[in-house]
Amino acid sequence: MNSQENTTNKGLDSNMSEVRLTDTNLSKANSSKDSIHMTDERSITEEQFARYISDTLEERSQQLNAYQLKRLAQARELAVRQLHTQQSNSTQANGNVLHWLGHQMGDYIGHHRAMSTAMIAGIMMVTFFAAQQLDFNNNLENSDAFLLASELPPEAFADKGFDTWLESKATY
Amino acid sequence: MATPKELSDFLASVERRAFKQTAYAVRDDHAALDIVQDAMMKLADKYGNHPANEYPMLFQRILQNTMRDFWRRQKVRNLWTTLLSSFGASGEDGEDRDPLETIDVEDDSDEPSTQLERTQTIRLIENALEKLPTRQREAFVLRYWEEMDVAETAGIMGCSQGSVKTHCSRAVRALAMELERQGLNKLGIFKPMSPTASSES
Repeated sequence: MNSQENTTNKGLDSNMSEVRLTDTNLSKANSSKDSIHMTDERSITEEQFARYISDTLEERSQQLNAYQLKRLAQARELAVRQLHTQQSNSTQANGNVLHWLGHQMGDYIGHHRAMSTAMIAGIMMVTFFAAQQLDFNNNLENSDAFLLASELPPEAFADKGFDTWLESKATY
Repeated sequence: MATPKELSDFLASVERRAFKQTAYAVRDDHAALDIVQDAMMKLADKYGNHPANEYPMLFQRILQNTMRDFWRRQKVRNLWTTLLSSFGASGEDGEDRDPLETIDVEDDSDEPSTQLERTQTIRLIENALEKLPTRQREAFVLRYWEEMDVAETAGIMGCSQGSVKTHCSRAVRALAMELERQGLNKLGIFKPMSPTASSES
């Protein structure tokens, strides 16, 4: 909220505004068709006119009937009760650190959606690569164990002609 | 984090304005009351734990969005009503209401003639405001009635600051023209200044 405007404009009571507007030849302003700004000292500016209208509307908003006031009060009470319930639940949940952490994370994710999506995607990618790396190391260990336990010498597996020789032998 | 009391104080300070703003937008007092209630509940539910100084912006944004939801629903409902109805129900819901409750509170401090003039002026202004295009009314209400600055108004309306200025300017001009067309100058508000008034002011 513009505090400077508040002090200058809120200070104007409706009577003051009315005096200014009474001092105005609005038809003169409208005849220009471009703006209600006028060069005349007595003229009102767009801002002052808007203030007059909003002051009038504000005055009107204070004249609600009993039914409307009752409904608004009920709505307010419901909202306040809702917050009260929410806060008392949250206080109970704060006893549990994990729950509290979950709540905080939920809040963070709720308010920083793009950031959270990027973070989740990053975590998933890191997990994927880590799993692949682990799998590769595992395979390496298994193949070492296989080579050592095999009856054939390791050179036989590196020899390109060995497979062909083995197949031709198998056909006999 | 705001306390329930802070929320209550905040809502009490804005509820009347919020109701009137909504009523000008939707032109239905009962719907306006429902919309304001929805907005209050959403504020408490989703943003109740935010600091109290964030409430004005949040509430206005929620209120504007709730109004938009209402219009969307209304559009769909109107479509179906047009398609299906020839037996439209009348507006009365048969609920018994105390007529005294719905009589507007009038300020009886002035002379009757002044009071009548004032009431007529207010009516004309309300009518003129209701006739404004939605975006212009939104900008005018937020900028001048809610006294938000251009940046805040732009944030709530989801448009640029330049657009807010344009909407506000057009709204003021349209209001001035409409009020003059409706004869507000006859009520003594826009009459030319007399020399004595000039020296006094």
